[in-house]
Amino acid sequence: MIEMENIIIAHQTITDGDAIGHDIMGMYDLFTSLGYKVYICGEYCFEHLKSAQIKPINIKQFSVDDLLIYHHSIHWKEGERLLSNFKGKIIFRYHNITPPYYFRGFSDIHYQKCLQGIEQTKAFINLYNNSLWLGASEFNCLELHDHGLNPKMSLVVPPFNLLDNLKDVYPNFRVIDELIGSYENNVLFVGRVAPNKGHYHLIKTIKTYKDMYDSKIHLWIIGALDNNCRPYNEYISKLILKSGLGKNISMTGKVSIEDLKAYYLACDEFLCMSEHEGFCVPLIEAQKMLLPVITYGGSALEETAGKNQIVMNDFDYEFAAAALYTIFSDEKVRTFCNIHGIQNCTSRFSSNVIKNKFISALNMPTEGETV
Amino acid sequence: MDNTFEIRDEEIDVEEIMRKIRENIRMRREAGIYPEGEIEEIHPASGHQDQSSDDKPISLSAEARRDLDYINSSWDVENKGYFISSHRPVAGKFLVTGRELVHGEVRRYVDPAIWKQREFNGSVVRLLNEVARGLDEIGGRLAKLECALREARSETAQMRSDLGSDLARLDASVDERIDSKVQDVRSDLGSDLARLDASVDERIGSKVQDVRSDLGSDLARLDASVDERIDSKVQDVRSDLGSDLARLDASVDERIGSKVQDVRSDLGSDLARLDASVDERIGSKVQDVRSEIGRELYGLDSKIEERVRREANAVISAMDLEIKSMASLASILEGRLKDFEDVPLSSDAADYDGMNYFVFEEAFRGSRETIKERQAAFVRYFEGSKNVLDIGCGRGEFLELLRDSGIGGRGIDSNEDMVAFCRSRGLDVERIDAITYLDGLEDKSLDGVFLDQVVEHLRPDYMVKLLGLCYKKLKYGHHIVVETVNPLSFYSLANFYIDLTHVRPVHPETLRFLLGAVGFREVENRFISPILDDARLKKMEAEEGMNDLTKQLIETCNRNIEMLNVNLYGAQDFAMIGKK
Repeated sequence: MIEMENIIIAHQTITDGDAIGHDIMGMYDLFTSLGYKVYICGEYCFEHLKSAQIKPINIKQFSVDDLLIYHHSIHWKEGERLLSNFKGKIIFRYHNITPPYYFRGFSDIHYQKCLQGIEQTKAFINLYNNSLWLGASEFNCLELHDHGLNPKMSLVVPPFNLLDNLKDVYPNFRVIDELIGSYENNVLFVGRVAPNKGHYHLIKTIKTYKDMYDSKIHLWIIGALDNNCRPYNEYISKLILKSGLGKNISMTGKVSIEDLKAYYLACDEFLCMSEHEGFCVPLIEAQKMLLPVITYGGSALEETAGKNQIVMNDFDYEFAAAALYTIFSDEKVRTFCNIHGIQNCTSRFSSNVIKNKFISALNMPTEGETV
Repeated sequence: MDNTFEIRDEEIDVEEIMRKIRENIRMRREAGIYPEGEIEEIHPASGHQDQSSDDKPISLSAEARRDLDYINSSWDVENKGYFISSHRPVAGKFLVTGRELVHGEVRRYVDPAIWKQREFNGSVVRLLNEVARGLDEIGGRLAKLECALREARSETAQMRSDLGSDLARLDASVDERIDSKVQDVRSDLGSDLARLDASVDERIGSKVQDVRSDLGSDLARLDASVDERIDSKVQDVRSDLGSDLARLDASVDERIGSKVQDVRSDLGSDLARLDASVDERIGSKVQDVRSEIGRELYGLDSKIEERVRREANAVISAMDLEIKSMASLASILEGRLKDFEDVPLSSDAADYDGMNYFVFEEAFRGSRETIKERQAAFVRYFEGSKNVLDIGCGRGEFLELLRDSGIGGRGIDSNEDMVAFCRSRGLDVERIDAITYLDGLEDKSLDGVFLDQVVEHLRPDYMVKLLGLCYKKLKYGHHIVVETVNPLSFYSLANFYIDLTHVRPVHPETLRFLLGAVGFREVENRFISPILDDARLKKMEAEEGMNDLTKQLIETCNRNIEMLNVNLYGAQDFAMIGKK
């Protein structure tokens, strides 16, 4: 393992229940188990890691022998000062920044943040041109190369996740009873309600299914509603009602991990029509929980879904509806998708695989020096 | 890998699944099933949807149409509806003339700006109308294009499918023709090779035959010549060696015969002398040893017999004394018991007011540490339990053991001093009658019952009722441990009556029967608290040099001692363990 004394993991906000929070927690647990002293640096930190939290201003106390892993997913002004005040080695963890145009007209705050975030990415690449960047996917790395990063300075390391912990979660059986008792084909999508997540396409797919097959279908949209993006929430709600799908689509908001597991267990398929994803953890969670996956293959989605999965090259609602129907009705297809799905997530994204990739990435010599 | 499914990819692959999905769409279309048209669009404030959704027709929104209608109707800002008039019959004419004069003056300045504005508005409206028409036209063309594109896609798919089947047919035909050609070539090559093979074999055979024939005659000649030369040489050597050996043999025989004769004669005389001397010395030594051993044996024998007799008499008289004293004590105490039997008995010792039972236990039962050491063996029956009841918990030794092992337990005792003592040590103990307490419990609520030195204090009817209640209140699969004095040991039986509150000893078989009768299963008996060897009758030890008779006497005596030890000094207590 690399030689250093202290490790600092930084991100603007560290919350439980999102992909970045889980990635940070995975790194924290790994470094701690290896005997390093690990600190968490951010403006907000959830309870589990609070004991290790330090204020950004205290970054100056660390020496050249220490390591900072900077998680970059949004514009963070304080982050710039943090990086410039740190004397030791820096590694960037890139989680992707949503293209700002998705938020135009829906959220000025997000629009500005994403726009500035992309500018900040380019600035970091220029300023810290000797630092390693760990992208969550090949797609992320390509995006960094477009922003000017030397390809030799990037590596793909999938994000730490809770796949292995899901099996220990006790599901909420009330939810399972409700879904199974409905005698409908339950379709699941998990992800925060944001304009890049393709809710429009999900709604159109369900509408097409209802028109062409039957009305016994229900789409469960699980994910936090963003108060800073209210116009989008209202737009999607209205679209559902206008489409006559009020009884076929439910938006639950953020749910507990017990409820989430129940939805994974009780639903029949996972449908993802996101227009832009840097990785998409829910997709591999679905594979782990033996849910057949149908996904649009743009951005990082095809890469995450892996081989032998139903991946669409464009937003073809008829195709998506027919795929839903085929999986509902053909057990052989369903089993095929399940087997290859679980094979994909366990062989590529289990915690051991990610740990090994992460450790070997940290040991990788970069240009002119050894990390 | 936690994947336990078997993958049979030869049966299905993702291309096959995609084909199935497309087939499904085709069949739906053939059956005339299509999506029921577009969702009524809702236009967000702006946002990405407008940019990315290439399937939305390019046309003006309803709002824009309303705006267009509005500017079409109101682009002309010239006020043509203004007329100067007056309702006043006389003054009206002057007023109208005045106003017309003012109006004319104003219009001279305002009209040019109005005209310019009117011209500008007209141009803009015309332009916007042109743009709207253009957009509609583009939208229409785009829709047509999309339609054409869809058809082209469908045709392409069809062509791809047709091409696929053509290619498959072609592929099969090519395979077939290649196979046929390969078969022909293989067949031709086979016959050529067979011919070549036969010809090569024939020519090799002929050559080998020639070489073999030439080599055969050469070898025969060489063989005959070598044999002849070897025979001649061997004959010469054999003849020379024969004459040399005959000479050597005769010389060796002669010299060995002479030496053997000399040695034999010397050895004969030496052996005769040695034999006579050894016989004489052995005879003398044997005589001495025999007479000495005879004397020693006589003395030892008489000493041993005397010692064995003395020790056996001492043991037997000690046993007699012990038996007499214990029998006497027993008879005295039996007498006392008879006196007590006339007094009406209650459930147990605590009701006997004549003595302080706590002080009595302190004096006679043994230290708390000794008791805990003895009771520790029973903790394992209650492992993992949360609600064990110690009936007659006394000074709380077992409750402490349970607490130390993380087992939940509480005690009951009818003696106030005991209860107070236990409570002072932080134990959960209540002063209450056992049957009253058990009656008040919910059935199957206990996960263990312990009765140590209790049943010997109880009247039979009370004991039977108590055991029955214990069974009723225990959970299935949990244990009862009943420990009491062992009446099979005379030592214990004699000491039994030291405690005036003891009612009667309980025989192990009686207790086993009672537990079985109320329903307990897997009932087992364990004898505990053995008497130390120092307090038991001692065995004699055989020593070296004792004769057989003496050894037999010692063995018989030891067997008797063992039997007496079992009956007189057997284990002081026993525990009967049952499981519900």
